[in-house]
Amino acid sequence: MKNTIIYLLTIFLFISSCSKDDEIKLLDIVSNKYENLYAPQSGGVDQRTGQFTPISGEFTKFNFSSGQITSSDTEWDVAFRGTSIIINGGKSLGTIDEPNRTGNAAVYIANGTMTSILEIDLPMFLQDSESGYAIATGGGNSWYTYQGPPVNLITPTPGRILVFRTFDGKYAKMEILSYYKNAPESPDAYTDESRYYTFNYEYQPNEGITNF
Amino acid sequence: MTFSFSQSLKDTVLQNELNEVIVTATKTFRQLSNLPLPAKLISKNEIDKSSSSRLSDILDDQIGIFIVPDFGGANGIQIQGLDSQYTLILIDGYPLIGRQSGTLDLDRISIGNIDKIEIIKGSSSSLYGTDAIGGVINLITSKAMDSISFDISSKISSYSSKEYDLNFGRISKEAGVLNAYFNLNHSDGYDLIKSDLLKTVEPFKNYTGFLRYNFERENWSFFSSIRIFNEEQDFRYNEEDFGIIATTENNLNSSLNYGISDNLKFILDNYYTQYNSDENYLNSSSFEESYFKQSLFKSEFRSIINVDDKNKLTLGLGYNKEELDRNNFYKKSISQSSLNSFIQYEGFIFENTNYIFGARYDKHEQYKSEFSPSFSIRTQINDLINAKLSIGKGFKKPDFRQLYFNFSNSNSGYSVIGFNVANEVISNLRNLGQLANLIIPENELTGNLTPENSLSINLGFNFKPNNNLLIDLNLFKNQINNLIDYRVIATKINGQNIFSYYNLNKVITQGFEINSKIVLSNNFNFNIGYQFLLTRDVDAINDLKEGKIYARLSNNSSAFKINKDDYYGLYNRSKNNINLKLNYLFNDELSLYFKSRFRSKYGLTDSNGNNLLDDYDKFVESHIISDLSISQKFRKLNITLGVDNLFNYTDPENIPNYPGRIIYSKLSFKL
Repeated sequence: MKNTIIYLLTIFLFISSCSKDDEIKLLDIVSNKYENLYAPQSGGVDQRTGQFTPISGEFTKFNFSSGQITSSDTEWDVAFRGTSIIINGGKSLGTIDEPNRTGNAAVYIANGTMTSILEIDLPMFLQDSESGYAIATGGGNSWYTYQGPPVNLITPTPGRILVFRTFDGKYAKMEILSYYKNAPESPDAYTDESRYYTFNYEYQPNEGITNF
Repeated sequence: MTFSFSQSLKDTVLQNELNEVIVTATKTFRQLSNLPLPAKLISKNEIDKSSSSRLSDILDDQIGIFIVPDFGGANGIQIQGLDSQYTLILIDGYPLIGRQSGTLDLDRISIGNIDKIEIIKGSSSSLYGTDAIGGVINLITSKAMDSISFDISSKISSYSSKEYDLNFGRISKEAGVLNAYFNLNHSDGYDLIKSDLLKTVEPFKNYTGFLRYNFERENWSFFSSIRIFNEEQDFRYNEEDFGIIATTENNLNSSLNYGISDNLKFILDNYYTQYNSDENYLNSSSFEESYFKQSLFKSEFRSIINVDDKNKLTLGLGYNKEELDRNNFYKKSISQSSLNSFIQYEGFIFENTNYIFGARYDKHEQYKSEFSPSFSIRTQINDLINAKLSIGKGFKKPDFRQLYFNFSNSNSGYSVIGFNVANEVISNLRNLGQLANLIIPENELTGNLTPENSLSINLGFNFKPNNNLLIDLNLFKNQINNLIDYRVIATKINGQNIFSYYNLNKVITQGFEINSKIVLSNNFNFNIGYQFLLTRDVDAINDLKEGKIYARLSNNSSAFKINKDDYYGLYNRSKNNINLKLNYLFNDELSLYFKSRFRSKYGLTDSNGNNLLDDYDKFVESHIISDLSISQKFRKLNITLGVDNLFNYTDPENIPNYPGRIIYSKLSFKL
């Protein structure tokens, strides 16, 4: 429904701009901050016993166009569970409760800041596959750095920008700011609740436009 | 050598120093005053004055030396900006082992029977082989000087710490010289962070026993010693969860010295040492044991040829065999042996200029053989000043952990595996369906790790304008290539990383050190030292230059690009270090000793996640630690009352080895 409205709105704006001064008027780039996206998981390594049970739990899905989390099985772009991030494009790794990919989303990690990454580098895009996620798991490999004992903190690696193609072929970029509830300035792994994503994102709502 | 109070300070401080003999630099008796290497002696007198009982205490007072706790709680040494794993610690020339994670714990070593400590800075691999990159510290044990000697002391300090020392010495013409030493040390430990279950330092008790024997005849002599160390430490989470760590260490050596003529001498050294650490953890549902058993056998044959009055040639041949058996290893027990040969020439060019040339070849079974040359030269420019320059190559072979480790953390599930077993472990995990992504291609995990090697340069000046002032300046630079670090090689399906070791980094430490001794009057002297240190990881600098590195102001804000000027250096290195020692005699019996050390800010971790230390990371603040003591002598009895860490400085999270203010009293009796 929402997409239909946006679609109609786009058509309307397109027509009205054409009719007025004969040039294409584009939609404004959406620039926003999303706070406390909660991405719980079950299983993993038990902190007390050291026992590993398979990770499970629903991924929390996010849609750039609405700027909201969603429970839709098809209209989502990116989803989070613990430190794992998946996209709605490619194939499932087959973990428990992992959703099927129905869209054509893709992602790559660029080195830069939200203001310096202005062009989409199309050949860089990767999709999830049966052998691994496009956004690699493990500290230091993709979006975060794990700072071992005694602090045990997960810190988003500065300078890592996640560049997305959405499930329906638009583009977006994201900078993750925090993995802890209410994004504290100096998080404490022992007292602050984790698995709460706070991120900045920009969404290019115009079809086929590869810059911001 | 005992400190005589009737003698003036002036004599003890400055005159004796020039006549001091040092053995560590050349493995021959060598006058310190004309040695071309950067060397320092810590005398028995200084050890006594500071009331230090462990090696960590006395070294912490030396300029340019830091005692740094590692994450396992072991207190290691940092010298010229290089870690504990790059410094050799010797007792009477024989190396100590038992570095569980690279750090040799200096709290283990009691110094109640130590006559002096010799410190050589910079690489000495040309004489000592592996690990002698940052320096060599040699503890020389006391040898009886009187027909019978006996001293006993007890030190009681805060946290129910008690330490007892007993020394006995005997000289007999027929039977030789015998020294016996016993040390007992126990403490209730201390707790800086009350909110967690464990104490910062758990209660422990340990003892050290030592026996040495010398026998001398006209043209031959024999020396042998045995040392035993034993420690037990309990830790307790609650009534049901508790454990014990038991550590034992044994050292046995013998040295036979035979002089064929005045100009030719043979020495045969044999040494065996063993280090065991056992940790047993018990709770209601499980029992866990971890163990670490290491041994080293060393044999060395040297011939010393006096070419003429001043020039001396040393030729040596050696054999080492090292064994290790520990849990979390891919193989049950590992052993490695190596052969080495070395040459050293101590010579004079002119009356005022002398030099030492040395070179050593180490042949290993498991990796590239190493050739380590060194050259040093000293010249007496005039009566007041002399200059010395030394250049040496050093190396450190990969340790067993870097080759054979197979460890999985039970809390978070990550794994660390040794280089030699990486491919096997990876393919096992793949067969078990545990492997998610392979990040480093398998062909990069074949071949051998290369030993880390270093080049160190020291340029020093000694300036002695008069009998009341002595100034030493030493400029240094160490460059380590092929530094062994760890990286992620694969990820497991539980999302955790598998790490392994590889040769990558190039690290540089450089700076200068100034030391001065000033005698103000017959009863007042002081000593002040300063070290300036810069350190860098060359790869980090390159990444910064290429604009690849970003930082954030806080852990919830946007990132921005940083440049080379924002780089701070290696972790745990302070740029500035100042040491001060004051000694004041009220009279022959009463004296006061004050020492203070300043350490400027340093970073312990990369808090903003960009894998290097930059100005936007969190730092440990600069701090000053001061100690004060007063000693009174009554005939053969000496009483010292003192306060360590006078101003009660603590930083529980970052500096676990400072428990806060410690008050102590020490009573000693000398026959």
